[in-house]
Amino acid sequence: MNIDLDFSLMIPELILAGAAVLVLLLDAFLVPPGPSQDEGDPRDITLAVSVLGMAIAAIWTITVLWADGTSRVSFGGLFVVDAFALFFKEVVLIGAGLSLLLSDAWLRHHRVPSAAPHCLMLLATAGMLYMISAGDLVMLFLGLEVMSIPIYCLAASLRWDDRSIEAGIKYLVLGSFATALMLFGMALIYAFQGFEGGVATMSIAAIQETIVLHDGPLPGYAFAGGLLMLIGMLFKISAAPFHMWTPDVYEGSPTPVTAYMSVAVKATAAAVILRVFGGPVLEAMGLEGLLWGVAALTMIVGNVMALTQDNVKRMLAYSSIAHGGYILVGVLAASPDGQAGVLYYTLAYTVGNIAAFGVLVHLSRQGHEVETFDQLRGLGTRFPLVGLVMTIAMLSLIGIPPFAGFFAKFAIFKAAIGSGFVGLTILALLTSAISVAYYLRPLVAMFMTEEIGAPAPRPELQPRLALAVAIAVIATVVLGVMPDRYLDWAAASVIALAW
Amino acid sequence: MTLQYLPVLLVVIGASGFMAVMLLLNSWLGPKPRHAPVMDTPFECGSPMLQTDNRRRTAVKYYLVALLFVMFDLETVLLYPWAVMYRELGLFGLVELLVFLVSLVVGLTYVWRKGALEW
Repeated sequence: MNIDLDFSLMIPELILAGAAVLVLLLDAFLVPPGPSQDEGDPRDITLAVSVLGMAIAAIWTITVLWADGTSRVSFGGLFVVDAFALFFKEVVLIGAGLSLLLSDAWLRHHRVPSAAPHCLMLLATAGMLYMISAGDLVMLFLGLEVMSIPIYCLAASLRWDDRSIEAGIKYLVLGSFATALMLFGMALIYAFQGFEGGVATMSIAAIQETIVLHDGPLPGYAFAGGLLMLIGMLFKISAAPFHMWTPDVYEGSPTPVTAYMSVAVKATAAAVILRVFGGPVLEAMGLEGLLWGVAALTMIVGNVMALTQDNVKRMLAYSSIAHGGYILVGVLAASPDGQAGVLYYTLAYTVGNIAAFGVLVHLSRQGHEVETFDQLRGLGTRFPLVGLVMTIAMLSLIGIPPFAGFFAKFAIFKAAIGSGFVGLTILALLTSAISVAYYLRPLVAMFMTEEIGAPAPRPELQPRLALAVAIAVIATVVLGVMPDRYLDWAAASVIALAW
Repeated sequence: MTLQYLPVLLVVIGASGFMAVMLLLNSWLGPKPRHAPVMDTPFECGSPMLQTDNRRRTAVKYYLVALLFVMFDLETVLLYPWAVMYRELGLFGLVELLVFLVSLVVGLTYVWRKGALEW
């Protein structure tokens, strides 16, 4: 055996997997069956282990691996650690850690008799990190499965709720379909690499080289392979026309799981699209025009459909589709600026979205879910702090300065114009203008209307949820007021992708 | 190039030849029933078709047991190649396999504690 195995590179992943195993054992031996007790609940321990695992992984990523600075490849090219991967890992870990804190409050409100969601989130996050670090299509696929399967279970984690089951089944069936397409695409690309590249390998870098150096248009089967792989990733980032599952799954899933899916899965999919189709690869594959169309359609569908929703979670689902479209604009720009824009965008979107979902989790109780605009009526006036958080989240998602969303959109649109995508940028600006209408609806409901019927009971403040929302809100403001440092990080990260 | 696939061809010939001999022996040596209408139906072993209620309840716990079986089935799939390569993999292979087995056992412990094995 002479394969290099540098386990020190995957310490964050190993920490997450170890924490997941520990949580599983703790859940098995400590959590008594039956509804959650509020005091002396062993779930405090499992939550502490999960959050600690995420935190150590995030800190290790940024102190040890990032500080080292160099790009390293290990496990025979399967595992790549470079600044690009580390930035996305950090974003995913932040999104996952904050969702974990939200999920704790939610598990308590809904008396879920298990700590399994904690374990599933840890496992799914480990899968995401493997996907982000994949230097090889096999690794990419393995990571995709490790990520997807726990999320299917998470979506269905309210086993007695029909909508949750529906969300789980829908995500499972459609997700498996997309995975199958992607796998078939990988097989075709592997065949192309074997015929044209000389060496039969699944290495992403080798395949990209073969594609870029190939004279003339690619043979039909290689084009089909690239297209199928792209479709698989577009499904995960919920781009139109592969977005049909998103509203139902986001609406039916438990709210913290929805938050988790909307931020972490999207960031991972963006990382993979950039890694596999970044630089000149997209053009060399002849997929540029197609992705242009997908990006345009995604922005239109997401923003227009969001206008007609009555349910805040569905509205946020369509909003997440629309944000996927903006991310694709940055991918299309293909310049280092565009890629850095995508990185910054995922970070800004993560914190803004977590804050918005945090408000919904805070206001919801079992038997009294706050999901529609009508249920939000008057709550901003009654609970000004909750209203303030929602306002900041919505303004950031619209892209209004001084919040994170503004610089995210600015960076991407600037890069798109720099790469000559003027038409697409105009479309993006127009759809952003549309988005103002639906992002202001929850604020109008919260501040400018009266509550219907008896006033809802005052929700108790869960300290962990408050912590998560506070971090998200502060990050949204800091990213918007002092964006330079983080934009520089994003710019430094994409150097690893340079051609 | 093509010659290296000769063993595969031999296996195919052997397998289909065995099947053919068995079927021929069966029709030659076995009893020869007279033709009956039920032999013309698409599926002739088991209950007659179009019975009013052919549905039966299947215990859901069977599903769980089947899932647990798949788990250990996969373990066996990994154990065989490991056993073949045992000497070359050495201590490294042993540790890797132990990690795999421990995580499987953790899974089993979990479902057991959660009552999946209670009938």
